[in-house]
Amino acid sequence: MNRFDPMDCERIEAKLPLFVARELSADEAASVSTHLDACPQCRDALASFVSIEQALVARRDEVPAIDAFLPDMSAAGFRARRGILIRSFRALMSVPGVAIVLVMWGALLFGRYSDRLTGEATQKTMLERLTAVAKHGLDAMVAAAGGDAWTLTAVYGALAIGVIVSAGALTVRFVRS
Amino acid sequence: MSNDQDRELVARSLRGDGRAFRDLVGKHHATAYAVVRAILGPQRFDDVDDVMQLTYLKAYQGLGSFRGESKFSTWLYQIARREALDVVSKKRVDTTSIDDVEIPARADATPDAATHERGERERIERAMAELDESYRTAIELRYMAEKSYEEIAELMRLPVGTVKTYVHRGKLELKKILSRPAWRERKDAVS
Repeated sequence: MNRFDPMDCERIEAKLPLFVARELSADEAASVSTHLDACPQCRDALASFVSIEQALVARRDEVPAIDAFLPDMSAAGFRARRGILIRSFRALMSVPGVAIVLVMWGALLFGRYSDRLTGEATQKTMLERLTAVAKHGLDAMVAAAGGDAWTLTAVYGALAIGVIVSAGALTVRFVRS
Repeated sequence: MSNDQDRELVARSLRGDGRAFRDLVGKHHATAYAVVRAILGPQRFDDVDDVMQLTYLKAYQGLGSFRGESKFSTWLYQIARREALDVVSKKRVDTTSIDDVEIPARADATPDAATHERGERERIERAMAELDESYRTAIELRYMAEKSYEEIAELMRLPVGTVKTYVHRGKLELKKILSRPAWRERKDAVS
């Protein structure tokens, strides 16, 4: 006949896995031990948890050696990350890369030959040259668009979106390469 | 320190050093194996080897995309988990009986001890199959991979308290399952 309150045993049994795994505080472990000394029913439960703990601990021996699972590295298609120079070159050789280089090259040529385009005197700096070309280009485009500011805005907007998308695609390509 | 070592091994692997890749995954092999075993369960024990091979193949092929934002162990854990779940979803109708699962005894056991040990391990293995997958994963990582609660929490992306609860409840469940009359008969048959 068990002289303990069943609620007591239930509470103790819930602590037994922690007791067996030595995860209880010293005070709690002492209280469980005292109960176990006097309660055969909980000692039976303890034996079950000890058996479970031992079986679980033994599972660490079931991990097989890794070699049987490793791929044939020469055939596995290893995709090593390339060096920064190769990645940069590959990114520049892509469609967005070439587009951006052409745009920059065109801007420089415009700057260099801006005098001829604008018919103005030579500017001192590249910025002044580019500003003059932009102004000349704007005037020319306004004239071509028949003075329609909305058409002009649409053309410039499309160009700006093109440059932004190209720059984004170039960045993605560089990062992924 | 371990993280720095992993970073170094990843860098060497990315330069094509196969030995470094072996050392890298070797450090986390038990973790990957434990999660694959936990997700597949004993019913799909035959698929464990295939999933492990796929896990390392995917890790090898995808190492270039590892950015080091998470730990390598977490990255590998995610690959192993995804591959195992993929098999589970594809083979949901597979009805291999749990009684057909044969678990080998340890090589160093004597014949009698081997029989007894095999019986006990089969009982635990079958009882594990009835556990919730989260409990099983936490228990396998704790015992098979010998991970701390903090490491398991990081891998499973759960609070440490939840992991402790999973392991604790898992053991209580195991005891409950093994105490059923049918399981007791199996134990008597073994001993």
